[in-house]
Amino acid sequence: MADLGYACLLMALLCAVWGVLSSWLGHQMRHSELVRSGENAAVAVATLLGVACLSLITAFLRNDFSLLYVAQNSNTTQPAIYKIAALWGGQSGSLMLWVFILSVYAAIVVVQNRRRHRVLMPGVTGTLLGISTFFLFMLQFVSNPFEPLPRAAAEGTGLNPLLQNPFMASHPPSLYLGYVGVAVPFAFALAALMAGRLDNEWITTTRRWSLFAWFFLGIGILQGGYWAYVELGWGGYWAWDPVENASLMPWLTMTAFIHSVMIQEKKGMLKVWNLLLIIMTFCLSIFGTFITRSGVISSVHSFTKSSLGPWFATFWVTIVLVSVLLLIYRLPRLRTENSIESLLSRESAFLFNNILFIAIAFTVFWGTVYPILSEAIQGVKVSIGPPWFNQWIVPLGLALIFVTGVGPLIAWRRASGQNLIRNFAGPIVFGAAVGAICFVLGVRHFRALLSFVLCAFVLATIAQELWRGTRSRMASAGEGFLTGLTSLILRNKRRYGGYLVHVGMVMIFVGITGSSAFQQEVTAHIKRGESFTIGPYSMLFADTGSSHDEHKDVLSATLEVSRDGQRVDTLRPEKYYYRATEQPTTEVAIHGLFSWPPNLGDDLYTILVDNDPQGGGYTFKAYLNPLISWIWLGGFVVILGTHVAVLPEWARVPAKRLSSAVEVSGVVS
Amino acid sequence: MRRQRQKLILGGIIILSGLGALIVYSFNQSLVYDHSVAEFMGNPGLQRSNCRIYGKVAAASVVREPGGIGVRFTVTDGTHSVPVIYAREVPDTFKEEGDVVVEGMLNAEGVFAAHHLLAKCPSKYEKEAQEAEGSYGSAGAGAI
Repeated sequence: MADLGYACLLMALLCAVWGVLSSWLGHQMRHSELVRSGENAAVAVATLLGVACLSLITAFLRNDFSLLYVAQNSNTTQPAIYKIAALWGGQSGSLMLWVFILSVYAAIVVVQNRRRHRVLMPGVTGTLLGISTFFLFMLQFVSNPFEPLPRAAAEGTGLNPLLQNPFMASHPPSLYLGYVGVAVPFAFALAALMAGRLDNEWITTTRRWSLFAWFFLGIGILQGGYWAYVELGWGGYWAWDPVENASLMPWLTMTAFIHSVMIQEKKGMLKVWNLLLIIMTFCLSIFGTFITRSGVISSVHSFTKSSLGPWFATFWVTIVLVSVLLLIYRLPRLRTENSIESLLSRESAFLFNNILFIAIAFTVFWGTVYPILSEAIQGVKVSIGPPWFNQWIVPLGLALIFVTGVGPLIAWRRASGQNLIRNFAGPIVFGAAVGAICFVLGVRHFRALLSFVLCAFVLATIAQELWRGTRSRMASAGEGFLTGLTSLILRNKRRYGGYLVHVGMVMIFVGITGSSAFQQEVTAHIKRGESFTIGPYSMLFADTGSSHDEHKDVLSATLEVSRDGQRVDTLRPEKYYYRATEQPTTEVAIHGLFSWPPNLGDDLYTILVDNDPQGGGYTFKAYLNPLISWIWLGGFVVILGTHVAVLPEWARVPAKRLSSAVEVSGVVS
Repeated sequence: MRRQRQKLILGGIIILSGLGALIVYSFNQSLVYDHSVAEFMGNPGLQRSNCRIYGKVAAASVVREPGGIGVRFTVTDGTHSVPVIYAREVPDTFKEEGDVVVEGMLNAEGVFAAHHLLAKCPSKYEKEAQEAEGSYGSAGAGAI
């Protein structure tokens, strides 16, 4: 099996190289058969890599410890699901998964465009296969997952116990779907530059791809946060760790891109900027893959120190140079068709949105990259703490919420005083009222108060839009409220899907504000029968337990939780001691979103820290995380909203072209 | 229209570069330097300010504070060592002879009072690679 996989990788590399060459030659010689052959090569690469991945999975399932990669990431007792997930548990396997996903995307693009975009396609195929060639080269010569051991190992090391968690099966693939998905709009952008087709074609045809990549990056980031929260046991979900930052940066620039392309579609502005944004996003996504996979930063995420560094750096510089040179070459043909007339206009709101996203991305980039460069160039190790990130990103984020409320409602070109009053008087009053209520309830944290006010403002703008639209449908079509609301949303899915995503983001902001501004923690060293309290909760240490299985010893404690005197839940935080690795792991117990009944107000997060066998004392740590559940709930709303936004326009089948044009203008008008 | 555009680009550049300068300036203010145990011992200047020390947890040096939370231990590079007290609960990956980074400063008793502790858990294969490289800095940590 391993030989088969090895052979497939080699053949995939040859096919990819052929595909790049034939696409290029086919374009130069205007030879459509050669172009076609390049496209067929893309399908072949996907098939070959599919077989290679399957054969590696088979090797994992059959405990084939003659392969170094299998021996490092699996063992005989590992559950089957983690044997499969071990495919991306290490460096070479995850690079193979990366290029496999890319090749599947390339194959889909090729099949979708058999008859469309024929001028762009050689560039698209060539770019996608060019990227594949790099990764396949790395797999072949630098980090091969099918590398045999000199002598087969009797037993494998096994996947790190911290990784043996259901999120291991879904978090990395989600991020990869996103990282890799950026390659498709990037390839279309490069193809547009190469072919000189600089209208909106490359943007409109990749709209769903962009949203797809953006969606999976975002969902991957959220899953990572949730995983850290429930697994790592420090009470938080985000630590500005380099690997977290690496996934956030392309998400930020991609979000900016998704917004600013609307301005290009509607007004013919920001053409160069959009190209720059997608180039930046792709570079950041390669950078993210590199950081995660190379161990360049010592962080809890890094896998291993490796020889990938110089190769990735070369690849990265090549991409930047090629893209930027192409862009400069085409600059004379990228004239803007309009310009901003007033600071108070939707155009300028979109511009501020972009400036803010870029400023946030730059802050994250600087804080992530400076320590690497400092060590690499000066040999001085430095670190930067979360407080610095928060100091900058909180105010920029608050400004962003404000723009989220203003952007979708303010008039195009130049907003009149009347327009401003009509659209914003209500939401401003509502925001101020929410602020006053929070103040009366005792919120004195300035940034948190401001955040709640702005979140309320945004929600009010969206509610007002929905209400006005529904009311006019009720009046004109004589529909009831719910029918009116549904048909309103379905008639302009892109616009209202976008609003739903905004609602989800506001919920996430509320959760972040509550859990970071008002977190409490307490440590207690108590004996059975004693209790301790945090906020409104009181926890009675009722019982202890211990158990063993073939891998680990488990120590647990039972806490009976009361809130304001009422019993609400029983929590059982645990400590695992894995015999093989001698490593303890903390299993937290949470009274929160997934308790019954669900608790949306404030998570109670408990940890069993330690026990003292002689004295019989147990040490517990508890965190109170107000509003944190709203982050995960907001994630679900974002998922829903994105789905609404990408729904096909099945409601209006005739005059398809026309309706999609109306759609485009609808979302921004 | 052209002037408008130039004004716009200029304005954008001024805003972004001003912001960028502020960000970079404050960054340099809150940067913390990492030092080896030897550097820390050899430089009295470092001993008076907040800094980070990296090294290994000395064998048989970990003493749990009575009451369960907090530890005392010694961080060492083989030749030099510094006594450390850390008053919070230690992460699961903290163990004797494991890699550790502590942030804090020397207290009046000459003990390094850490307010931040990072522990790393090189797995078996990575450990070999790391010893072969002989470097602490880029050693792979436990994976996620």
